Amino acid sequence: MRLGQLPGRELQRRLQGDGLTLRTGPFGFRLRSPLPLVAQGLAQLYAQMPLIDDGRFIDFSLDIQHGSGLHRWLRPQACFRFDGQAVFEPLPAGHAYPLLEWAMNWCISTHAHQYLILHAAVLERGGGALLMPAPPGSGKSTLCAALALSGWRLLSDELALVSVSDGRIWPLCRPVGLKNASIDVIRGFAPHAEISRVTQGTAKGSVAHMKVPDAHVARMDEAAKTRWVVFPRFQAGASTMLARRPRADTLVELARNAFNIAVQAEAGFHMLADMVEGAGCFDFRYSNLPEAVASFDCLAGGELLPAGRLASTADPLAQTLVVTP
Amino acid sequence: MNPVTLFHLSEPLAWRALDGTWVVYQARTGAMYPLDTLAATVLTLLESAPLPTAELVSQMASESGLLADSVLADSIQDTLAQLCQLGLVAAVGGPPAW
Repeated sequence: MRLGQLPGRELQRRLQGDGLTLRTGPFGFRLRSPLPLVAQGLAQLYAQMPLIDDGRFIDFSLDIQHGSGLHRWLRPQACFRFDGQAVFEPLPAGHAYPLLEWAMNWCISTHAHQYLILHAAVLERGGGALLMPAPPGSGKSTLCAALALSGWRLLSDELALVSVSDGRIWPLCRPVGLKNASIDVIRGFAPHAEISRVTQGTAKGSVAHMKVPDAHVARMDEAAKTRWVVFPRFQAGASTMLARRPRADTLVELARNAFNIAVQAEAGFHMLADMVEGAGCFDFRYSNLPEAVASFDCLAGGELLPAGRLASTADPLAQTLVVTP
Repeated sequence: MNPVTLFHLSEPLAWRALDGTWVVYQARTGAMYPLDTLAATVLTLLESAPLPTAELVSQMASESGLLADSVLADSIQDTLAQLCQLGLVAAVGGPPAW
């Protein structure tokens, strides 16, 4: 059964009772919350996610509850509790849905050490995974959302789950977090994209979440092997540019984006090295989203340049592949 | 008589060569460092046994065909200083020359 098949009242009853149990990627979540914004967000963004009704193991139990004491009514708050323990500082009640998403990220990144977890977006095309690690503000999520709406399958917007046994990346299929200007950029890029209500005034500014296309959720159990590692960077007014990146530098940078490399230790180091060794490694700069998407389509098709010259690794100047002038 | 300073790896290290650049992984700190060929060769030699600078210069020269002169000795000395600073290499038997 899918979450979207639950009548609204039943969804609320579960969230306010024993919990709504659903699976996203390899993880089972039990979610409890009396806050209507949480129910609304889940109904809109997780409609295709399978419910867990068969006693399957639940990895994470989390609650988004009302604030205590006066904060129940005065400046109402939303509080995240994990296994009954408060983890974050309470947020305004209006931030309840983003808080749920951040809380789910926290649960995975701090506990799921059966994976090497990277702060990166992951998409797939033709069986190969595109790994995009990047710091906040780099335009990673905007690019990720646009690619997911343009023929690339979304595995994850935020957390790459790398299997420690074979290096494949497993999908999470959670909504794509969009911030500030990127919300309208994606609305303009794909008017059919389903985007949640905008939450204003969070620590990250205005935030909204984009629903993962149903067809991607249907393939939530298909892992993919890394074929490209691309570090994206949005730069206003810049021409689109894809430049080769040294593999050794890529390995070090990937490790900086790993949540739990210390836990995985030497095995994690070799796994990342294997991943980098088998992948094309690039820096990517963009300002025009359709052009950026076209560049990735070329990359997936084995063409590095729709227009311009092909790089020769022997020519240092040709390490930079100008996709469009 | 001044004791001879011997250099050794601070701990077992893991490394990989990617397109000719070495990356070393230090399990104790979880840190990774890209290394040039000289630094990687020094670490490889020290992996076999603790060595004094003079012996490192001699072995490096015989392996690489470089002249065992003061230029090579200075380069190795600088490299050892950097590796010690990163905690990848330690000195025993006396203070290092730098």
